[in-house]
Amino acid sequence: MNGYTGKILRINLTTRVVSSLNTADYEQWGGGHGIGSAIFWDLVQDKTISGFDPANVVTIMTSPLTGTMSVAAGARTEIQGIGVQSYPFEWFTRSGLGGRFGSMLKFAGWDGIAIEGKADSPVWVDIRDGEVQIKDAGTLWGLDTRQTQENIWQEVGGKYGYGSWVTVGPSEALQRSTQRPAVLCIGPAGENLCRVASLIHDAGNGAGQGGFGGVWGSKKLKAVSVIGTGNIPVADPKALIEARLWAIENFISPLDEFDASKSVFATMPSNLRSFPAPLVTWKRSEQSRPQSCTGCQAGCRSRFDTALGNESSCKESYYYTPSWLVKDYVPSSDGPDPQALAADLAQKYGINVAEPETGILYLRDLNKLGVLGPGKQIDCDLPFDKLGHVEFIERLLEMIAYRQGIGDDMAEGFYRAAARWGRLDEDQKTGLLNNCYWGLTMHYDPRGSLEWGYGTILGDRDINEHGFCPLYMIPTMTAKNPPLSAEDFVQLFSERMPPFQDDPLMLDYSDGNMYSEHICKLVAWHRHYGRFWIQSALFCDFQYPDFFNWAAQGYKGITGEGEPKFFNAVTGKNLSFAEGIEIGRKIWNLDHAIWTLQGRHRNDVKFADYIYDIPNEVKFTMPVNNNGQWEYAAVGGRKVDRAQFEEFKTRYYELEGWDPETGWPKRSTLGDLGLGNVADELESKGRLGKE
Amino acid sequence: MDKFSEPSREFVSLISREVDFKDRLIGSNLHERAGVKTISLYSLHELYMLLNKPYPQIDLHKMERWLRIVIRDEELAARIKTVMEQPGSDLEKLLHMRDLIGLRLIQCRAQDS
Repeated sequence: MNGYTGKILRINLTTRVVSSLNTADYEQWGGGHGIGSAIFWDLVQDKTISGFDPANVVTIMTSPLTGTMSVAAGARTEIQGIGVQSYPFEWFTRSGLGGRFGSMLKFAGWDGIAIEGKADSPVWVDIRDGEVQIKDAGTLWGLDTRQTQENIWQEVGGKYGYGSWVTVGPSEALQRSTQRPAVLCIGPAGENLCRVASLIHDAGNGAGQGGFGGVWGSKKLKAVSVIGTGNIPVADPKALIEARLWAIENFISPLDEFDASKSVFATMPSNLRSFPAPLVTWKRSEQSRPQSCTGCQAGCRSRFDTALGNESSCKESYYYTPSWLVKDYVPSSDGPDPQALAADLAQKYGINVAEPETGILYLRDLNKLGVLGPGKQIDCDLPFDKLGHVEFIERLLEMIAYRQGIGDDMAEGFYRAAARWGRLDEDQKTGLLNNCYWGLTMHYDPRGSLEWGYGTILGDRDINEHGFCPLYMIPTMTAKNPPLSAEDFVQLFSERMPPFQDDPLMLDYSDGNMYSEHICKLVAWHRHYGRFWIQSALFCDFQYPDFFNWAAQGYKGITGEGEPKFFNAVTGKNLSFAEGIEIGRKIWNLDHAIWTLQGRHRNDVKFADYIYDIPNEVKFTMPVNNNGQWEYAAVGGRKVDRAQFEEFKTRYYELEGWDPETGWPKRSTLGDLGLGNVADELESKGRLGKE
Repeated sequence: MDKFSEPSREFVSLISREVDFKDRLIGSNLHERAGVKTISLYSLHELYMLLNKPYPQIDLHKMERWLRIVIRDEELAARIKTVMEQPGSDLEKLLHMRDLIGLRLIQCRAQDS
């Protein structure tokens, strides 16, 4: 079992029994999400329970590539279980994070962790190679995520400082490390069962979606700490190193082209990162440096002399943007940058920033509307005169984390808060509350970004997979001089989308094609690819799939060739790119079966009203097929048609081999995938689709 | 770029004000990773801030009408309309419009000081 350690840690917090599962029993799923879903299926008998139920099982999974030198695939950790954020169903869902937790877990000899039950008092888990202890967390409860980790580092490292040797087992010669333990933990938001609470690791690696911080809080689990001194068996180390050098030579720009003054947003509207470039939107100080997850070439995070906002990236860095909100905004050189402070506070409290990102704009509109504010119908002491400044975000996050005042509502997520405030129906009709699927905030708009919006509503959460964004971002951002003709640009994507590679029309997002069988293929491919290569093999979702690459010859990115090259070098297997996608289809079917058992019917699969009733005003320049000819055109300014979207769903269910009447999986489809036992369970619950 | 006619102090006060919720303008910004971020605009200044983003998006006709009817700056609205009628992409036009609005805001600030 090259790439795997062979065992998965199983922790029952109720009984405080620690045991293990054999990874070999789950190897067919590849790793990460696939194994997590299979373990969840086996261990959770009643899939209809709440995420807060002690019987909910949370899995923390690595992949065979975790901890290896695979490019942008050595660091991801996949988190799964029943989440508490989505509405009206608390879907079985996923989140993930980078950093070094996954690699350290592998070095300690574990492919993953399955956590079940609920402790009767706060606990943390101390893993030192094969030794696992459940410890009292009484002194940690109430601390923020930084304080929690620092306390654990001191307990595990003892008197030794960072960089000193720490002995972590009986063999001082073999079991010692200069590393700090990798700690995954919750902050006050998780302790207070916020549905928007994250799991945080190190300074700025967070698993935000799903509200797993709140799930851990309900289990009285404050933290899991791991330090390992082992290594990972690699089938062909020479092939792995050669693959890394090949990737760096052919797909990554030379380091001397790195411009520290620019963020990655300004330089690379594509996927595979070409050089260390920070994913932050505030102005970086001179005293800062890029920071990478284990084994990654990209360095999309940063560390600063002030430590404020360390390792935060992407959404954390812009969810609170003063230049949007403050008249005559000038970045302060005296006090803390509100943007960096906002990122830092969210990490410390353990709050998923996707909620306040749109929530702040919603609060502002409600305040302008005259219904929210001091003495208003929704009474609160939020200082709107300080919106965009430090004072506002400090107060808002404190209210959410500790459920103070209307913070008690916002801790449920802004969708549930709107319901409590009696505004949900109206604000979903107008779109004032910009949460369009499963009660979750919009990221990309389903009226324009079809693969994103449709994929999300057919799944469980904001997919957050940017693979096709270059299809519309590159032409939009290079409108006057696109790098390729529309036809060549489309082919760059479609030729690497097996088994649908012969149908480039799946990349035609035009009005006349947006409900077609071609778009069904696009959505299916994206879900299947993502379920295996991104979420199970754990290639970083920020960098894969890499269809279009500025640094590559002919702009042809690494996708299709790179993923199996790394996977096979590590595992010694001979898995093709297409075979990986087929495993992804199997995982997608298992997940869909779980959602079906949770209660999903095709009638539930619908967007918020405003998506159907109000045209979006955004237009992308993208390739469209006009009577057989590909050309670039503006696409957007449209709404989703209810009846035609229902027809799309029928086509999609038929493509997947699911019952179009209910959307439920069929025995024949599950049987072909080797999931006969899943069909049996669905049948016993009366939720098997008709043939 | 031609200057606007000199505004009175009262006029500056009028076009610099924040408008009510019902009179807000909706704009968006495209972001490579963030996607589409939509925001309510309550003042001329906020519109200017949006147009300074890398990839702003806004309905040009609604913007012209908003400037003319809500903000009540007919001269600025007329200049915006002229830009609308010129050839070029929406993004190119928005950049030109941003500069016009910026010019107007500089005038307002000068009058204020």
